[in-house]
Amino acid sequence: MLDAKRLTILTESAKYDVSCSSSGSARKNSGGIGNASYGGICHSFTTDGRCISLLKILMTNKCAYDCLYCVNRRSNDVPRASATPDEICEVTMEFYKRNYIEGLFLSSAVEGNPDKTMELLLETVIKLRKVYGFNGYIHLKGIPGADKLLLDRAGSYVDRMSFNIELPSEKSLKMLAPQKSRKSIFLPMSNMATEYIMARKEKNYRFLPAGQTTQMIIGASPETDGQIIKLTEGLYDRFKLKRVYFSSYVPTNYKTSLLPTTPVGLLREHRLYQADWLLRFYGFKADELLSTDENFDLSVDPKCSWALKNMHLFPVEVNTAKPEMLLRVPGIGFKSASKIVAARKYSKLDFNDLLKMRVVLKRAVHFITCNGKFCGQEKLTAVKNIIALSERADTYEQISMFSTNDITFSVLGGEL
Amino acid sequence: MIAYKLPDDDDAIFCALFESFTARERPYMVFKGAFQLSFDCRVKTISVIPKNVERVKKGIIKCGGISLLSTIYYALRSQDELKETIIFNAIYKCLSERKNLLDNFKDPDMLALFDLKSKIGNETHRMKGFIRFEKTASGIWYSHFSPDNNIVDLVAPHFKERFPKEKFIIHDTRRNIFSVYNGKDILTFKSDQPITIYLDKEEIEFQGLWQTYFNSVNIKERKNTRLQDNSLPRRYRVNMSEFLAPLDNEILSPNNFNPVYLNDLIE
Ligand code: SF4
Repeated sequence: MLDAKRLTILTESAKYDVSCSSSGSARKNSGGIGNASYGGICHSFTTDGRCISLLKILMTNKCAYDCLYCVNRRSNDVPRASATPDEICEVTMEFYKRNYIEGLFLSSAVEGNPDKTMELLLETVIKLRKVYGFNGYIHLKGIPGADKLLLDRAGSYVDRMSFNIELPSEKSLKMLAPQKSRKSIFLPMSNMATEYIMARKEKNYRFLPAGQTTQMIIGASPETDGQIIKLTEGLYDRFKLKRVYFSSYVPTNYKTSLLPTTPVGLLREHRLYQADWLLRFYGFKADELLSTDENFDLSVDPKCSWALKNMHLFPVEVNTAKPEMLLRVPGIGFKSASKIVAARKYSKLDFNDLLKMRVVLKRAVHFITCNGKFCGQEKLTAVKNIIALSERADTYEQISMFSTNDITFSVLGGEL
Repeated sequence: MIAYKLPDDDDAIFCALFESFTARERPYMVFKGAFQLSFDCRVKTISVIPKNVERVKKGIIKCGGISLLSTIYYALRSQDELKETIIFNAIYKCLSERKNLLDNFKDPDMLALFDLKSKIGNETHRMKGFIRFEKTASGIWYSHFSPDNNIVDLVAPHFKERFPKEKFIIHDTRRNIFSVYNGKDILTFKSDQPITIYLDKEEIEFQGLWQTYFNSVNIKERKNTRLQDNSLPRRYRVNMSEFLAPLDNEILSPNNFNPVYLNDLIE
């Protein structure tokens, strides 16, 4: 059985992988133990405020590669450990039955070569499903460079797979992860996307029910936010990804002039997640938000900066605006928009009604009219200052809201 | 001013509505138990008359369908001490306008009911994650929790679906209500008998591993307990092993359990 010491080593280095999400799969129980919940479930929250949903663990942290930004790189002097497939299965089952977790997030450093590593991962998930009868959620990290057949097979046992694109550009990848290349990461991603699309065409929903995701590190390399969200949009379009995760770079114990020595502010990560949200749910295009040489304004959220650049579209009339347009008003999220649309069937709404419905007007007031009445500031700079000020007060609480969990709380409670 | 005092019965709310319509009066407060009322307030005690309950229920169904009726039962699970008044006010309006007005959110009465319901829904969802099971010596899984709202029977089906072959007991220690799954059906009942649980030997070990995991995934550099407190309120943590001292023996007495009784529960 896995002891506390190895568990610590194997989970400590897995924790920077931000994808905690356990959503997107509605796996039914079919005889064994467990199922998956479509909306995802958080089982606990760590002192850094992140949600624990999955047992995130590496098969091994012994790595043949030497990516500069990673704690597990070969040249780093850290304690090493490995687990056997049975040990992983056992601890997953026992945690799952006690309702500590929604499932397993299994990843691995590259021990020996990609094929060998992938084989071991595959053996583990097959065992977990077939021998241990586990029906809960599994997210498996794919090892780029492993045989396509191994990867495809894994796809029919797990709920979600991901290949990390690691860094937002080829150039940075070359510099910081010399053994990896854009192509070696995009190739399995695109193969997987093809399999996924084919499976859906044949009405096969058992192949990756929760699709494919990826992750990139922010702040270890010089790309702009504009480049990053453009890339993100491309990934959604090209590979039908379900999510793109961003992970702020945390300095590892290695001094090199190639890497920054201070961590990126969480605020930047937060702005990127807000922008990602706008791309996925609010119908925005990357080009509308930023051009590729720009970064997000940290003082106001991305929707707000978009609105400030597009004042000719505002103010919109709350009583008649289309729902899509309401969603584009700063400060109005899904919850408020749907309340407004429901309530305006009964009678015209004025500002007082909005307050009563607890629509937050702090930001919205500068962008809407109620029955033709406008109560906001007209001068652009004034609007921006007021919003930036109020924003400073809330950011603390909201921060990393978006990195914490998926649809569950953020869509329901997320006023963007 | 008039207030209605209800007996401890879920159907009483319907009789309050009946009374209000027949007496053509609008109580400013509808409550159960003891309540601090203003001094110029007259209190009318409502009793449950099955015939009237049925009439009002029919009226409610006619005006807003079965869903309006089940909204009432659902909202009654709330722990809010004003819940009877909130439900009364919203349903009263629906009945007098003969329309289901529940999504007219600019009406404060509808919004109040909506909030009541969301709190119950949110807590039910959260508890699907926050509940912890412990393995007992007899192999039955036991969980104690103390939710704000009366939701144990809303949470239990989730675990029945997930663990169809395991037997389990979920114990609401605030109300002493148990939802018990015997491998076939879920039964929910109240029992104030003291209980003691004898845990399986492995339990100490796995709770220890879980605590290890919980601490090792934390990123120290990013401490944000305010966010943690919002997402996982402190009052829930008394039932969650990762926030407690390591287990040091195998006897658990959420309120003094008798081991024989545990097996009786499952039968
Ligand atoms: S291959 Fe993965 S585990 Fe190995 S050094 Fe690179 S990022 Fe780290």
